[in-house]
Amino acid sequence: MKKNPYDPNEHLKSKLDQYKVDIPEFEMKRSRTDRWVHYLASPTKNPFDPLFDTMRTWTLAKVIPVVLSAGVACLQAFLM
Amino acid sequence: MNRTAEQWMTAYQDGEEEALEHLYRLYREPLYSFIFRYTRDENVSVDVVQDTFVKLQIHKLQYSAERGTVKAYLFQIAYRIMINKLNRRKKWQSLLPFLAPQTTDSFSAEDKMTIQGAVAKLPELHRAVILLYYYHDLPQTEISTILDIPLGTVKSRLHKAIQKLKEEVEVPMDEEKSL
Repeated sequence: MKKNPYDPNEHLKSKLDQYKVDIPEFEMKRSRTDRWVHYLASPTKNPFDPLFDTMRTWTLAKVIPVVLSAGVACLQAFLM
Repeated sequence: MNRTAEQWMTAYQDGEEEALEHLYRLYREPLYSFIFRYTRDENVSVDVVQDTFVKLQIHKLQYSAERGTVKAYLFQIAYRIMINKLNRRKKWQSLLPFLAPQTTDSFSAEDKMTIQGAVAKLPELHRAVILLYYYHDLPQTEISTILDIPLGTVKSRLHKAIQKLKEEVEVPMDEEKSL
């Protein structure tokens, strides 16, 4: 007979029983195009997320482009 | 027609194409739930189940009833495909983090209190053992074949997984009692 280590652990067993999975309908085969579309549609990490972690970096991220464009504009005006 | 999975597999090996459809209907759900509980990713789970059956079609003659059940054979294929996929994803994440699909590594406050959170927090090696043993009722010998690890390692990982789950699951109960 199979030894079941869960017998004295009814609480854990009942918790594990609560983990249900909803199974979607899907066919045995899916085309490569469908897979590619799913891959493209899947969410990805924003590479700038670490920048926006703090208020200071967030402000810098907004200010730097303004300062840079102002600098370029001044440079253009100076060269004309 | 009532046949066992092994009989369907033999029929498929003998050229009965519709036997594959029976095997798919029989194991689609267990395979999906195993992969989903492991990865918590619906797309990966669907892909792995489909790839498993593609691989079964390619290597159908490699299966032999003497080496184990069809269930263990399919779980073994699925587990290997899943691990390869996850490893490939990790590589992509390290090279091009903004192109790799996002994984569910972080847990919400609600998640931490649930069994889903507790299972997801288990180390990968322990997670596979507990999922196969508890949810799929596979004997430890078959788990060792699927994961390609010695039987003793299965036993120790199972024991550690149970201990860790107990710690995770018991804490909220204790807190409830103390309130």
